[in-house]
Amino acid sequence: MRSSAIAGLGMTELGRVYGLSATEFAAQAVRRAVDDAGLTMADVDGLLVNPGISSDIDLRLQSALHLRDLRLLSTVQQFGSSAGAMVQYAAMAIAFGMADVVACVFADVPLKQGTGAGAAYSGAGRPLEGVAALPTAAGVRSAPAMYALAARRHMDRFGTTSEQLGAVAVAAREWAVMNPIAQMREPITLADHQASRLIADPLRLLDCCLVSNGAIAVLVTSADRARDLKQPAVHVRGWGQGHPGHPKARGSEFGLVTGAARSGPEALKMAGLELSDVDICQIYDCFTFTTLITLEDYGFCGKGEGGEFVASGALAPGGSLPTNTGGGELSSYYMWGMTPLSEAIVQARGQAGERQVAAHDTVLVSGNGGVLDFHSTLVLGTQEVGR
Amino acid sequence: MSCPARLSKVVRTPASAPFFEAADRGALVVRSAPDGTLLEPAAVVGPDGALDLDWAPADLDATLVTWTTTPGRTKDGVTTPDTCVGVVELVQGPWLTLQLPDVQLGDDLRVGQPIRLEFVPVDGGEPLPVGRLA
Repeated sequence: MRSSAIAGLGMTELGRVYGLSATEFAAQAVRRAVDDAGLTMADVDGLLVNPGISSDIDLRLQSALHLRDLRLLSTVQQFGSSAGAMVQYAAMAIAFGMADVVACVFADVPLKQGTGAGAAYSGAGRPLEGVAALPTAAGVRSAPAMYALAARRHMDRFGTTSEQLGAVAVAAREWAVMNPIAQMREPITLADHQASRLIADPLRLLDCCLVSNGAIAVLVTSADRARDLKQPAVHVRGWGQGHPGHPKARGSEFGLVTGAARSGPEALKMAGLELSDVDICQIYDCFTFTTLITLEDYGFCGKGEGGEFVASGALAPGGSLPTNTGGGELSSYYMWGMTPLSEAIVQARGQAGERQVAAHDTVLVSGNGGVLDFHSTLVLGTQEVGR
Repeated sequence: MSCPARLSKVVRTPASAPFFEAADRGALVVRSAPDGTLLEPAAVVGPDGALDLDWAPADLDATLVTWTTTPGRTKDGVTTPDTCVGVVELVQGPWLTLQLPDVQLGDDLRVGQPIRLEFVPVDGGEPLPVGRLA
């Protein structure tokens, strides 16, 4: 079987960018990824499409891009774990000869001019019908409220504190200061975090990710082909998924364990690597709590010790586990799972400029969807599988 | 002191009619699988894949699993109060997410705290469950 590598990365302008549809953003991103790899659009024979919350791109992106005779075409929807999943499916298609060059793209335009970021994910205006609507009717109308329920449970069980969550935000911002495309580049302190307004107790404004318009695409091809292309190949060494399906009943581990506990070890096993081999982590950080619990479930610290671990300074520049080195979704840009994936590619290539981490052979990438419901892991590296 | 709830209107669907018919009487029903397992009201399939779920009565006593409070805000001169939402575990095991109208930001809650469910009317909609600190 052929091993695979990421050969192209295409990113549009990201953030409060208005006037383009999701399709237009997606087309830009795919074209830029193709150019980045030194390929042509005619080389693309697979397309995987991840629509964002605005849900306005689909299979018809193929015709918008004038892609002919594709051998692989599908939408993928695992929410925040989609980007990792798309790379996995692309790698499998390449391994079995189903496709040679697969473009994986995420595009979204949740921000509308003149409205706040919070409105983008609130679901306001939808009619409430039946018993499935009870949580919304009770007041759970936003992602922060849902994640707050998870974080509170972790805090109660393990003693995790708001200050420890704040350490995640401060570390991410330290990285973002060095990222020219980050949306938030002003340094922050733990005091700033504690002074930021409560959104949904215990989560404060600085515990919450940004909301961004834009698109990111990556090109996956065989490792053999990637070796001769324009950019340093970023090899897809291992992957895994974990979707715990926590029951809403006694015994549920909601807020206590995520799918990272399964997908991480499986991805590392496939790569033939150990946790100690990981040089950099790119963790899906829709909220500070997500970073903390994901690192726990990957095993970088013991269960329940995530608070102490993130407060130790490990994640920040100069720390023992450089994490979210572009500023993450908290400070850089929110492109669902493409945020951690794109920064992983930049770091693995050694193209991160001022924020480049010296050791960048192995990068662990997480994707998280739903409310800690869906998880994907990628192990990316500069070394080809088996070499 | 019982505070008024601030709930959004919910419309009944054919599938949810038994839940709201019980709610009209102040009673709680949850889904019941053929093997006797009780499930949350929104469940559509049993743990063993059973599709023939029934409805079964459940106690109004529960305990607190987790909670979040969204601060009230003032907009255009109108101030809305804090809204606390909790996940509670019924005596029989299923979880429900409901409003805790008596709780404000900073109130001392704890996991395992006893909660008593009651149904309150909602203008233009079905009666909905809320949790009162027992």
